[in-house]
Amino acid sequence: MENEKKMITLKSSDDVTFEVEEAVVLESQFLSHLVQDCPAPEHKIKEVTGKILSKVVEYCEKHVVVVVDGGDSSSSSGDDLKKWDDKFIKEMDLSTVYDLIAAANYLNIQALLDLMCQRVADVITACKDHKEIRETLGIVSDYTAEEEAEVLKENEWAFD
Amino acid sequence: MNSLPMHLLDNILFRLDLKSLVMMQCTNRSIKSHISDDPSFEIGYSSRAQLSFIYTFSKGAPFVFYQPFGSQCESDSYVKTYFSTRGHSYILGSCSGHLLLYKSGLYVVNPLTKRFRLLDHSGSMLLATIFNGPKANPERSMCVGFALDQTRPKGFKIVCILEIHATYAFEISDGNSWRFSETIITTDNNSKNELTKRMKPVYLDGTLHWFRNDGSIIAFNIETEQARLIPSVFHKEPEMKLFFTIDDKINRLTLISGTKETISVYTLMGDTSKWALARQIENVLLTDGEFEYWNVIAYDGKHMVVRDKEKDGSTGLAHVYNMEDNRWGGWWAIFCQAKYNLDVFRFTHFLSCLEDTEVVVDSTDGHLVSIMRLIDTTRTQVNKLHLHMALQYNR
Repeated sequence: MENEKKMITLKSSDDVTFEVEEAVVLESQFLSHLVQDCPAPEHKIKEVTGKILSKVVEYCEKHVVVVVDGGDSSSSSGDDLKKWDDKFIKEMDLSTVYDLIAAANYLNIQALLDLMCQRVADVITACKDHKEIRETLGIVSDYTAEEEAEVLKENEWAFD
Repeated sequence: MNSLPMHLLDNILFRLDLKSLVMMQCTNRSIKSHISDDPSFEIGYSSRAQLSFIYTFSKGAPFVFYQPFGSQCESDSYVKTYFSTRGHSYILGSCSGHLLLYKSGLYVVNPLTKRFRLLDHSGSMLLATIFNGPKANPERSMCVGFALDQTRPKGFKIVCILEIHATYAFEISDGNSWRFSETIITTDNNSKNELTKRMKPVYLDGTLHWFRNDGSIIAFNIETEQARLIPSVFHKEPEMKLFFTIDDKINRLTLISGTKETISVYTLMGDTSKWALARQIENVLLTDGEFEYWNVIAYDGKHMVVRDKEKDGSTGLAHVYNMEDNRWGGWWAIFCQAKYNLDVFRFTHFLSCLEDTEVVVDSTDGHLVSIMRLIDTTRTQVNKLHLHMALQYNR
């Protein structure tokens, strides 16, 4: 009865391979075009490392399963997915988040890109001032002391 | 973070509230210049902002109204009112988080950053005909345009159009002095092609556009100060209500014409200067009640706002049509009699800072501070008495 699921192998820049179902690959606009245009069994993704690709695969596999299972698109499966997303991002450090943003952008996975960008935005929002943002996000200041004082004065209203 | 390309950074920055955005500006010079100096950033950021409107009576009145989150609310519990017994208030323009308003003086204000500037308009001949003297006619405030001047950082320009028998001249101020531009354009003298009264100019691509009764447009480029006539034609039937605006989504001049049954949206085709029909929707007024008044008061490509007042209704209503979902949705109450025209401006908070503005201090004019506080998103008290007074207002 059940059709044999087509499997596709993805290979990261550092030659880590992942065998995934075709449906998982279709979550990425970039990969779906690649798979359609070039029906090779294995696809090398030079721009993404194994560490990051494993996260991408984990995310896509979860999202495919839920969409397929949740045929009635009940709100509970949506809630579960959201909980899963929350856990997925909380376990990640920011440098991984940045790498995932770049990977999601490259592979064109809009939902993953949005999730990661929202994560960074939430981290920024939780900071109490610009110094904390710098520390947390690893932003290097290129202001001189005078310039910084001036910028702070200009934006005094936001620091109540 | 430093390694993310700007378009990915935008995806993060667009999700921040304005306070966090300001803090981001303070972290790094290149982030600041991206946020403050790149006009496309503001456009992208503001397009995600919730819809909010500020409005006054065109004739001038002691009231200013602020309607936040216009598309969401379905009650009158959000409209905030400013009331003053001392002189009328007029709103002349809204751009880049700033309002140009007249309240016993001409002001540029940013309600978010609490910065303002009192402009000397004694050198303006045209503003005097609108606000000062025995022949003053505030309904001519549609002659005034207010826009950013992208040739100067933090610069802005106020441009007033003067119409004499189909000849147009332009009085310009950069905030410091007033002068007439060298440009004068002359068109066929025909009583049918005068500037449409109370139709505010529309700003698009560095150019202010004024609408004329025959559907044509007088366009004035802020940077080059050159003017031209766009010879578009629109035949208005007597029962039609017109509204001249811009579609922010596709960046085109837009003309909305409505009858009691149907509202049509036309966009101006740049190559042919023709108004092309883009959409037609059913008007919201399909009830059995009789209408004392209705017109389109706002449009931005995503939402259209139609104001109406039933004969028996106590307050008028503003109905919001969602152009993406193709349906009438939220509404809010308009506390003013049907006979008064409204000047409605879409207002979007932004942290930009125009030149020579100063921070509000204790000695600042209290009325100005009150109007700015009206638009303060952190305060939400509603003054029911003021709303009632506005409804009863009769001059």
